[in-house]
Amino acid sequence: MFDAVRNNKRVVQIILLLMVLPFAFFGVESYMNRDSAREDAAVVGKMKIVPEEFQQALREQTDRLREMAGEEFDPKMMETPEARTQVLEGLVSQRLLMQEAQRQHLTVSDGRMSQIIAGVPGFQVDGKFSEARFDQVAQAQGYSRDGLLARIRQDLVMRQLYAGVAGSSFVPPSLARRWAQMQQEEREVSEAIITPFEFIEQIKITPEQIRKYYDDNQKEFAVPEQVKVEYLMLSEATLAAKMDIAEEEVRKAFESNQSKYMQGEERKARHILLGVKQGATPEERKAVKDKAEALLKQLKANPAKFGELAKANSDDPGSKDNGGDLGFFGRGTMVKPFEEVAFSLKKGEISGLVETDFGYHIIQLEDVRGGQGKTLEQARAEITDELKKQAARRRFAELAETFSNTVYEQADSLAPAAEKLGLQVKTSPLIPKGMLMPAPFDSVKLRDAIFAEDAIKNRRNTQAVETAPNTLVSARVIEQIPPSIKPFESVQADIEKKLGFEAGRKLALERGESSLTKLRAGEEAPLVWSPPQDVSRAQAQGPAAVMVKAIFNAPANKLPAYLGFPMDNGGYAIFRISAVKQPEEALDPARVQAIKAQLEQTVSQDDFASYITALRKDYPVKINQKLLEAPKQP
Amino acid sequence: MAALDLEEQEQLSAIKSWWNQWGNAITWLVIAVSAVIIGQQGWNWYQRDQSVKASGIYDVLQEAALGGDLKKTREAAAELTEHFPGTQYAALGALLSAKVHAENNDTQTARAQLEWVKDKASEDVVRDLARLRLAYVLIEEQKFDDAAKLLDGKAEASLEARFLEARGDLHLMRDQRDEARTAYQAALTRIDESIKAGGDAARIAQQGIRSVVEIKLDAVGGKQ
Repeated sequence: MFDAVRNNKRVVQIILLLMVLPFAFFGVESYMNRDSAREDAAVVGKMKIVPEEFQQALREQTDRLREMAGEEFDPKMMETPEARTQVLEGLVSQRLLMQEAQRQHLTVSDGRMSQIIAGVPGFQVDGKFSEARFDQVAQAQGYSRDGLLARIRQDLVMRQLYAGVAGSSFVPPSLARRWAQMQQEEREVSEAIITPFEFIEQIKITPEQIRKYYDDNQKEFAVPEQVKVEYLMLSEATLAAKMDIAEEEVRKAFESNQSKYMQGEERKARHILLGVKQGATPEERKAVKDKAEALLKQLKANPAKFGELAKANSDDPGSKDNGGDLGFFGRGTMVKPFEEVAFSLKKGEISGLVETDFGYHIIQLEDVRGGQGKTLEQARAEITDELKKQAARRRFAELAETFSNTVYEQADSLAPAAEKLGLQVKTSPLIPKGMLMPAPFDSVKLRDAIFAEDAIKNRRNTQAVETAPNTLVSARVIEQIPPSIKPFESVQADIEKKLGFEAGRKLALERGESSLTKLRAGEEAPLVWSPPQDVSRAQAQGPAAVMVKAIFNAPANKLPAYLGFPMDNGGYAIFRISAVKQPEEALDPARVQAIKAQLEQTVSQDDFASYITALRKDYPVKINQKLLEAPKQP
Repeated sequence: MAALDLEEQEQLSAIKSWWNQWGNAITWLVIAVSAVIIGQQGWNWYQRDQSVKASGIYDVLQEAALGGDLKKTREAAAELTEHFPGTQYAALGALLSAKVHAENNDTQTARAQLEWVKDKASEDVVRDLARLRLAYVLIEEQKFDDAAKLLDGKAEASLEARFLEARGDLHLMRDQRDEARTAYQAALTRIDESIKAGGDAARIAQQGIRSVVEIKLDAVGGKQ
């Protein structure tokens, strides 16, 4: 029986052993398969970018920009789809590179890793690599030690790829020279401007034309419907002003909330920490405690030696060398037991042993600043305000219903509600439909209500509308002006001016274009030319950018060359390019070098972008377009 | 055996005859599957091992290239291409070495290294990148016909515009303005097509090279 097994015992054993082995290698990929039910920002090959990561990257980019732009920073810059795309693309590229690096087995040897990590100042204490510091950094960034190592390795590997693909771009010297010449090319240009005002005398606008414009463009002269209302407002803010707060209440509030009026206190302390390892045995703990007690005794005998003893004994690397000095700190910075003691000591006093998760501390209070609690008199205004607000909130809740009901039940006047609630009826200015007005008429709900048919025709109170948090308004139309068209007489002059300008613009354009044709055909044109001026590409900035660009875009194989532009102010500009100046041998080598470096950078960036684009064929990229749209304004 | 009753005896003999018929086949199948898996793991392990070694040499090469040590760069690149030709490091190293040599007027070495990458690299895009750079080295050596030949033929889609631009550069260096203009114009059109197809992402990625091509086009007469 089982001949094959018996005869091949050894073979079978080996097979069984080996069959177990591959499983040790599988399962590595499974960390990539996460919950797929939610919407990802993007999927790149087998990897996902979750929305949180995208948001985080957006925040980081915003911070970077803010740092760079300083006060000119406009947060709107990051809200355009383009800016958001740029950030997401960055993450996508990273994922592409990660997967490609993995497929190509790119890696960094352990030896090289330690060499690099040891050289990072952030992992060093006193210029030497510190394992403890490394763990601290890892923890602060939310990684395990191995996690941070893997992260660094990944980063290094991507840099290897970047160096090989993009860092190896170059621009050959002769081409660079040629490019520098192009960059420094100058063109000699004169300009001639035709303004619309040159034609003022020949332009005659007839009354018929004005009338016709008025008739054809009625919309332009429309005046919207307008209403005037009287209104009643019940708001927490106005109620608050009317609230009376008894002296007794203020005193009570002050006494029960004293800590609130004591905030902002900071204390300066030194400490000596005798560390207890996590998971230490009770014996080990006891040993540390004994040592701490001995130290405490020494200190009590000679408090002046605190700094010296801290330097010699403390296990806190951050403060040890400063004699245990922690500087000023407020509440909420230190672990609880430490804080309690530090904030209960008197100046100069030395604490007993304080036990925290770190071990045993001995604390000496050095100084106290800020936070001298306010007296009742100083806090009175603040407290009264707060109490008034609270009372008003309660009162508002009580009155809101009465308000709503009364304006509804007695809908042909606001007076009953005003009387009942002790409010005043106010009258609004004329409110044009569809135009912004100050509060409370900035509320769309209220405006819809006052322009509703029922409100205008029957002059009924609108229902109570919440125009702002804890603010109710009811309004009643008292006057209405229906929509109209501005009378002809009042706009006649404006129309004449406008038509005149339009005609001038048209004549300027005509003269400009016909002159251009003549000039290009080699004929004369009656124009006034400015003296010639040298223009370079570097001047393509600001409002002149479009024109400078056009001047360099113009074919200059036949000189003089001409080009024309209609201008925003109604005029027409003609440029004459009379010479193209190539700086032949006069190129400054340093300048050439700088221009070359710039070109090299562009080429290198494009090399890398092309490489990444090609990777997209191997690792399909799916972008969640919804996340790229500009965030909605509230 | 005597303890087995008739039914069990029967089952046993059924299993026996089944095993007699299929046992060998199953054993071999298991061996074969295991061999494939082990082979694959072994291959992966071998590749990883090669990569670790190559990675170390690549580090040396990078440092030498940065420090401008031509000889050391060249030697490291040679070691990679000779002993670790299957790793990505060989291609990356050769590209880096080619750059420093081209910049220090040793176009011959640069040419040889780019040729190696063009022929031996495992990915299309890397091979085409090497081909493009090789063409520029040839332009620098004024071997215009060779460069033109190299630029013929299909290139990786994301590099097509760059190949057209290189063709324009070639004509520019030969003072053939009209041909240069045609090529630059084609490059610009190609870039604009891909921006149209790729939206914001493509525009951001290509704005740099687009303005370079635009300026070159202007310099030889601009759009027609």
